[in-house]
Amino acid sequence: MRRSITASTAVTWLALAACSTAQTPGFPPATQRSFAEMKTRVARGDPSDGQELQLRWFASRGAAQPASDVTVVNRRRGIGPLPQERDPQLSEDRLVVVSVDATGRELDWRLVMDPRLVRAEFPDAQGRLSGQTFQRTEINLLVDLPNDTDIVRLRIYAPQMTADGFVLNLLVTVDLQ
Amino acid sequence: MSARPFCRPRRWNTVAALALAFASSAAIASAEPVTALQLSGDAVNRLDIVVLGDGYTTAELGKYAADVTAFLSGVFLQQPWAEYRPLMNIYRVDVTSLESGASHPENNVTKNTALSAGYNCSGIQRLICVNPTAVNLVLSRSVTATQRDLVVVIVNDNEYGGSGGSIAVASTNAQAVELVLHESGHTLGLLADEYTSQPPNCDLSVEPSTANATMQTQRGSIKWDIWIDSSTAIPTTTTAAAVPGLYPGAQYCPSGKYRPTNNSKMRSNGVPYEQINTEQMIKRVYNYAAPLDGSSPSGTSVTVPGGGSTTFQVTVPALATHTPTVTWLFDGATVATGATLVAPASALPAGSHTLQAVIQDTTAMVRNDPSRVLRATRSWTITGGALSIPGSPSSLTATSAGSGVTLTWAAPATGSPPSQYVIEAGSATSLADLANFPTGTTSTTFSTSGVGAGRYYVRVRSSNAAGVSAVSNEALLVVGGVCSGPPPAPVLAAVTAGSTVTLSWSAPSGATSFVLEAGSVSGLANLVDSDVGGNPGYVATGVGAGTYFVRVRAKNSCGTGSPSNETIVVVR
Repeated sequence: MRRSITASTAVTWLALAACSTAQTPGFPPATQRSFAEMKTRVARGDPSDGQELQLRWFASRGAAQPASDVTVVNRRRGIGPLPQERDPQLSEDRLVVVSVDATGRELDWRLVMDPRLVRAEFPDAQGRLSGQTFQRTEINLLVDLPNDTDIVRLRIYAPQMTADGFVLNLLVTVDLQ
Repeated sequence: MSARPFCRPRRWNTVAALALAFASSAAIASAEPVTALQLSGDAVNRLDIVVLGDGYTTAELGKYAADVTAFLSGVFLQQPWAEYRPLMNIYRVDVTSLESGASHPENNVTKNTALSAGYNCSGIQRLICVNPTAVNLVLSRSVTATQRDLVVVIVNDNEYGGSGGSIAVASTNAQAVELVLHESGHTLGLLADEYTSQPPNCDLSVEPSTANATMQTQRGSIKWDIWIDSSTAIPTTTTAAAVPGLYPGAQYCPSGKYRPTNNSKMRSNGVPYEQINTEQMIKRVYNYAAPLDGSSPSGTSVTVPGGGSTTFQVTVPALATHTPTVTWLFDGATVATGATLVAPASALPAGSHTLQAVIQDTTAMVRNDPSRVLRATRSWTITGGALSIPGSPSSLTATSAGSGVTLTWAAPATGSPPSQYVIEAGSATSLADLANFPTGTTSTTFSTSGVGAGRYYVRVRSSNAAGVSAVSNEALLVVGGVCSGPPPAPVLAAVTAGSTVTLSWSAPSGATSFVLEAGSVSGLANLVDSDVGGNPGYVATGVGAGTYFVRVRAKNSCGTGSPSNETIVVVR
């Protein structure tokens, strides 16, 4: 995907793209799971106070396996209340972020807009739309989590609609330590 | 990874340092000024829209503000945005760029702007991309996590363009409003495109999750069946607007997938969302905002004071043209409607009960709400308390005008409510020798007239069937004007005729009544000590034989004066 960027920004991006540390630990037990099962198994963390992570992520195009690189470029704790969804619903425009402790226990899950997705949709002379979608491979993801010191790892899943509902495909595991 | 052509592992330390510097500069950069264009409630319970600008120099921030206002005006002209605007907060972040406008690589024009907005992204002229890292840095340092449910970037370039995704981007071209409304259908409403052109590819492998696309053709299995009139043919081919049906062609598939209306904002610019998409957008607004902003009393367990009542209240956000309804359920049965319910202890059966306020948006724009997001509930467990002695009244004040008197006080804050009050008045502090009577009402004001001049020390007590409270604060009531002290001593004279004694005395200025004293020896008042009223004389008949030492004192509101001369009256 081509971008219009300033020279200085490009240098920074390229530098980061070139040499970020890969922080992809070993595979978690499953690389695919059902969304319904995940919601049943994983509670929601305390939303009264959060932490904010800014991740730089070099994603494999259409990856359904943990093969991407992620760098935590900023982490802020004690950011105040977390946004709360009363009826969290999935779509293929969203990602699921699951927080994990050192023992592998899953502590929280969040939905975020898929930062990889860019929609290009434009009308013709009659207003009728047409469009394309693109996927960024160099991603900056802002994710808000409970301010739980036990969270040491994130699992980021992409949903895929199936006849049995949404399944979650593991995209990447992020080690926060 | 092919996208990393410049990777030089041996320079890791240098680059890591650069990355750290980058992160560090993000942390210390100043937050951009944020203007709350609309604050309708707590961000935790609102859909929060944050607007960023790109390509605006410092000198153009006024234009930026005007552009944002124009953009929002365009958005909120349309439903359901107009009706549900009160459930949204809107923030404008003043992002300043070094250069004005946006990059146009097709013309070899590069602009140094804060968010690096540029046209011709991915070779599509109208596609504007921004640098998401820069956007996230601004968001991180300028707004809280709860203030960025929907992110829009306005680009200072009038050429039509924009993009969708996690960040909606629009140029200042007025038509770009439609683009953002369509993209919000995706990001907020989780709606599908209803157009059929490709790419993207048509996927008929599975029923779509979106609310506005289906592969089902049986009336009862169609997601939006509740909207389809029984007289509407399935599939539907009418070209009339706003007729829900099952229209062939949706989500990049000319056939095999169906859309709910012939046209909509998810298919074309310049048309409404139409019923099914509007319904979904409203439900997604309620994903972020419950129709309940607050309630009282706090807590979930309430004891209604015996003999009294507790007022239960919910705060419901008013929408543009309607307000969600409130229904009160007592042990599951409807007992009242409206935002407030007064629960008297006398109406509570023994034991604990459940009181629930059910808030429901009854808009006709939503017919199908299986997750009940248009509804909120607030429940309390309530019990009736035993009757107790009320607390003391407070803040007693006493005023007079002529002989008229008004007392006011505050009802007790503790104990069971009073059924009436008791007023006490004394000639000295803490005494009740002049008045002590119940008011007979729960009014916290008492007025009367014809009160004699003087100084009264007044208190009030609360009373109910359980007993009488301690006294309130004491107020000094002065009736009859202001005086500088008791009147001077009168001059007394006496005439005796048989058993009739006629006393007369001078009336000092300001005297309002007189106190007659008589004793068996000089200086005593062991035989008579009585206020004989305001006349300067007194006739006593049938007086027994004896010698009486008689004096008189004058009174006013400041007190009782010194005795007159003592006259010795001998009755034979």
